[in-house]
Amino acid sequence: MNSPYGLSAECLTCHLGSGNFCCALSQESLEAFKQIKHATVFPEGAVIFVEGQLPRGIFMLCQGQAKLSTSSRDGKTFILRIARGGEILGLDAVITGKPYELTMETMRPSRLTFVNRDDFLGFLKEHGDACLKAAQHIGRDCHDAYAVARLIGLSHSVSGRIAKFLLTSATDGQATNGVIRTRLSLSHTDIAQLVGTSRETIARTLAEFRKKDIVELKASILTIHNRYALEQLVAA
Amino acid sequence: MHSPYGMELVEDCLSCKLCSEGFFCHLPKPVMEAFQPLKFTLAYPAGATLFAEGQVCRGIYILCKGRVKLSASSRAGQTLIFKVAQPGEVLGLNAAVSGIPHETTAETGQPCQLNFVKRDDFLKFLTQHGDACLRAAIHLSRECQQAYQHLRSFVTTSAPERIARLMLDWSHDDSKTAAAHGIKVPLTHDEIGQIIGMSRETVTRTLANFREQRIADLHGSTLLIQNMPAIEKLAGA
Repeated sequence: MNSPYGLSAECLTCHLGSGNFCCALSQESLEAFKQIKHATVFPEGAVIFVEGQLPRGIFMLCQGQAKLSTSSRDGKTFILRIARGGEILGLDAVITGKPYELTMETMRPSRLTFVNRDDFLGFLKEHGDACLKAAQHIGRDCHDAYAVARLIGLSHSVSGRIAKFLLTSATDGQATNGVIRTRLSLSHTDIAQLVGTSRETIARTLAEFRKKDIVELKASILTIHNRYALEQLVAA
Repeated sequence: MHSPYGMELVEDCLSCKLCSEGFFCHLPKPVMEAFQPLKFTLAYPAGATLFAEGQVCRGIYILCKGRVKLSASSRAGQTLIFKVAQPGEVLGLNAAVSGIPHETTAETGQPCQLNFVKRDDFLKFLTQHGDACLRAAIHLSRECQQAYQHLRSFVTTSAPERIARLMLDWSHDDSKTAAAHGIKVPLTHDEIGQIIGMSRETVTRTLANFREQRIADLHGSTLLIQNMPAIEKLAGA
């Protein structure tokens, strides 16, 4: 069957991994959730919501990848984190009714499930288990935000922050003979916005790391040769 | 009657006069009655640590009276203050609900009255009472949004802008008394620096500039905002 961007928009045939908001719901809540959701598919680079906009509803990222960012008045962008499949976005804004705090933009063709704000709040009121799940989800978002704030606010050296970022990205990489390899499909600009610095600094620091034979980033493959050196930089 | 740290402890949530806009204070009566037997009322002196970052969560603390500082520190000993919690706030909610270790350290800044609820009791309470659970979600969302705003302030680099923003937040908290008597700010320059991620020296210098330009005057622990439009302009509000 032909489908937009090669993604199926059907939720019923969903075989996505567990840990997902929906997967952990009771059968009854799941049925009720199916009644209120709309499945949609977006191309790469689509802006789903913008910070400051009033919340229309939640977006569940079923498949794909999206970046969550915020910008300052002078146009500097800062990426908070990269959301992956199974995450719900815009949840805090929908629950409090305040404008979205972040901007969400897809980085790959993505399948999203949209639920209208009123429908979602009604659903949470009626289904206690879903409400607790939502609270846990926000708790985790909060935890991530604190972790980023810690990283930016406490470590003043940029190389320390980059080292920490590289180590976190490589946690699910493959290790052979102490060399870790992982796919990192991010541009230098993306990394700069994630670490809170300029693209030039990222290019310079990565070149330095390569010279010292610590890390190499080539054609979206990140290779860590000297994990110990990176850990030392984080600790310093 | 003698009472610890000169505070009058209130054991009964239903007849409490400390009642604030917080999480638990305005729950329906039957829910409050179910909550009553779960909690322990505690009094702490200033400078007590309620929980430390990295510690496994034992339960939640509801702040009835006093102020609590929430911070994180690096291995080098630098401190970053996330916020100063006001009465009505729930501390450790995030860790209790999602079962992850505390990401902040909570330390009392004044003598405090707190209600403690064990984590298991609290989770059971949330599953049984849908409206309390929704309240918890709202409370967490607000905390999350504050964390995002805090993060955004790190991206905007200039010190006057960060301090103006902080002053604007304080004036919103205390809007009734602000105009006439000034705002109470029980923080040292060092602590203000820890909130906005700048050095003590920068804070002192910026505040001196503000005083010279007659924008705001922080004298002792009283902040008088003399030129609100200027503060708003600096903060970009």
